[in-house]
Amino acid sequence: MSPATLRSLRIQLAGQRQQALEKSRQRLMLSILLFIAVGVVIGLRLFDLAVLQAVRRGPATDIMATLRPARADLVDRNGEVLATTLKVRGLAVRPDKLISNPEQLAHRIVTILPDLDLAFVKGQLTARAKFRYLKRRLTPEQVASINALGEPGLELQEEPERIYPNGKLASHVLGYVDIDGQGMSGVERGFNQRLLSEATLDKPVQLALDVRVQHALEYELATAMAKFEAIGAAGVVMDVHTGEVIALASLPTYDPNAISLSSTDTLFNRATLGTYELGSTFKTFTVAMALESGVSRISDKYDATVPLKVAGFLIHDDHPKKRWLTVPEVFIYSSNIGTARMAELIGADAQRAYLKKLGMLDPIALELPETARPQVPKIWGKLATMTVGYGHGIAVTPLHLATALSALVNGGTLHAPTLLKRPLDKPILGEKVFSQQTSDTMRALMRMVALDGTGKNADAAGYRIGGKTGTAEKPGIGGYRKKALISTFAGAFPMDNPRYVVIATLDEPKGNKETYGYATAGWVSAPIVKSVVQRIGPFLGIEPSLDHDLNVKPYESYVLEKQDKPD
Amino acid sequence: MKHQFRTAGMIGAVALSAALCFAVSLKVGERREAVEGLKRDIANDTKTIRRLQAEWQMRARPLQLQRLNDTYFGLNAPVAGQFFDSAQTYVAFAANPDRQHQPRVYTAAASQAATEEVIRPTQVAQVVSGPTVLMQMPQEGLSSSGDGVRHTRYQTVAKLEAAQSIKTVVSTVQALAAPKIVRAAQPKPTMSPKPILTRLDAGTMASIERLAATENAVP
Repeated sequence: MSPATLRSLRIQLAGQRQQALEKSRQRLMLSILLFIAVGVVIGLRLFDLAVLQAVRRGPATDIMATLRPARADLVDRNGEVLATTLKVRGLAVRPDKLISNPEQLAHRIVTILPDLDLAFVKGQLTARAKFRYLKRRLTPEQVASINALGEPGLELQEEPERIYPNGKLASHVLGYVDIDGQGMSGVERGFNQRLLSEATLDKPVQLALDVRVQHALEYELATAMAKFEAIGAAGVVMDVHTGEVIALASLPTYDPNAISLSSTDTLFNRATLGTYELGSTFKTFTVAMALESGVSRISDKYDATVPLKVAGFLIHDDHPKKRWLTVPEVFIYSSNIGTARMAELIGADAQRAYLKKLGMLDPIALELPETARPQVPKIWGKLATMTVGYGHGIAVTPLHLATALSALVNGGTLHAPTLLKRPLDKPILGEKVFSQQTSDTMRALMRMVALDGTGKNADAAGYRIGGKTGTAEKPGIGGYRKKALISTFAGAFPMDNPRYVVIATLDEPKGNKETYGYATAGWVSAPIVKSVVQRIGPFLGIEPSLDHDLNVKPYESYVLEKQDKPD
Repeated sequence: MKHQFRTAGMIGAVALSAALCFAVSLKVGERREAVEGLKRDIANDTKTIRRLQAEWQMRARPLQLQRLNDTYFGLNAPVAGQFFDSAQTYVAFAANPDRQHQPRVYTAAASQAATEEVIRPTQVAQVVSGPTVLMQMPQEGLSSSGDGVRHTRYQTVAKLEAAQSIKTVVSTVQALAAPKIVRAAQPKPTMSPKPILTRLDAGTMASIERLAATENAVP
């Protein structure tokens, strides 16, 4: 090799080395940059996750806010839960996400939830849809079993559900809600805004109802309804001094937990929507009006010897005494003729004014949306005045009767009925309708009805019940139907210091062997009031005492039968 | 050299403080998560409480309680005459269990305002229905029923009068003299020579004295 060739060879090699070095330097640079880039990307991603997404999400949800229910609770006057909202899991399926065989899955589901129809489940699982409901309101055990199936296409969704733990109790008062959580009837509807307002979701609405009294009333009404084969019943228990409705019952009743299973006739509230001609219970108010307006005194006598002929109609007594009767006798023997004569003396204008003051001519202003307007005579002439006097020709609801009777026995002050518990410290406003003396007199007369009048079956020993029976025939097409009766007992107790009014009404009761075939109020409705009072007296703090009673002796001097007995 | 040490020292200090701050913020993060966990627990427990309250109310609803009572206990509401109002009535009953009950009556035609007046001693236990009376009652007390004094409360007995009467009863019991006849005008009945007060056994007398002590103690 020549030195020149060697030199050029060395230069070539040197250049190649430089190129190789250059190349490797470049490759090193590239790899360093790649690693830095990976680090930068990680850093950017960290920044994105930690900062940007948190900003996008906003502040974390307040967990305490999830504690508040979707709808406020309803509780009774003692704090017992009447209605509450719970989050309940329902089963739904996403048919496009199913992985198991629909047939087998349907069988497995029906094993866990036996009240589902197999064909229905198969149909839902194979439907060409994104989402299908299968069942709502699963129990926790069912939820666990469905989860254990391990099928991702089955979804357990939490939904708020309105639950009424007491079942059918007080269903007409409470009402029910629809799927969207809006109240459809009763207190749920009347207080819908209050129950949904955000600020008070965790404060329950306290009603004046007492579940124990409500149950006693509903149970006794149901027992009597079954015994006398009535088509319906209604009852009210009201506090005479505050106007609070302690119990309101209407039978037949429904379960608000399962509205879809009830028929529409069970939804009818007979106590506030049903207007009935209440019959002789109205005589209480006619006698009170007569005494209050001064047209009658206790000693006045009225001619009940023969039936009264007015404008072509004949007014007769059910148990005619065929003699002149004093005011207490007219009331105790429930004389239509005597009461009609008293009503005639009162006059149409005064009678209408008193009824208006008692609230009998307008719908009751209760917190329920279902209240009926009473039916009154179109022309209020002499005949109408007389018939209204003994309770025919005017149709009112049992709640009207309870409110007016409360006004009569508490000393004459009318309080508006309410379903909300009244606070004990605030004074309760009322309108004075009768004087204290009229109230005392009527209390004595009502006690006499229960002691030895038509209301004997209502007298519970020691509770000093007083009241008035009323049996009216239901009007049918073209006149009154003979055997369809509305039997009411309107009572109050304890009569020496009345605290509660109890009304029991039976719709079309039939007499049986024990009542000797009679279906009148004294036989069918009065025993209901007796049983109810015996059960609820202890709850309401009223002790049965044989040592106390109302003194009716001054009035017995006006009753002929009482005067024959030696004292 | 020193310059390098200072720089290294500063870098070391910065690194150390960074590590410490990081440790502190890690701890704070842990505490915050713990608080959030507690809040979640509270929320879960509150939901469980509401659920349990609803379930309790369902299981203890009035219809269910009545069913349980009818099946297992058969208890009924108390009736009149089942309990004694006071020691007075207890003693009166013990002395004469077969006496017919006479209700004390109150006038209807009274204003509510007048019902708050003080009870006169006449209201204290009505014992007499038969010809004999077995205990010495305060003389100014006795009169027939229906004297028209009204009251509407259930605690009918003025405590003071009751206490005095109990003392009288107890002292009479202790004396165990021959029974005094109060209504002298009525015909003398045939009675057993033994005073009927011995119908009250030692246990009953002890409970009467205990009742008297309680009624004296209560103001």
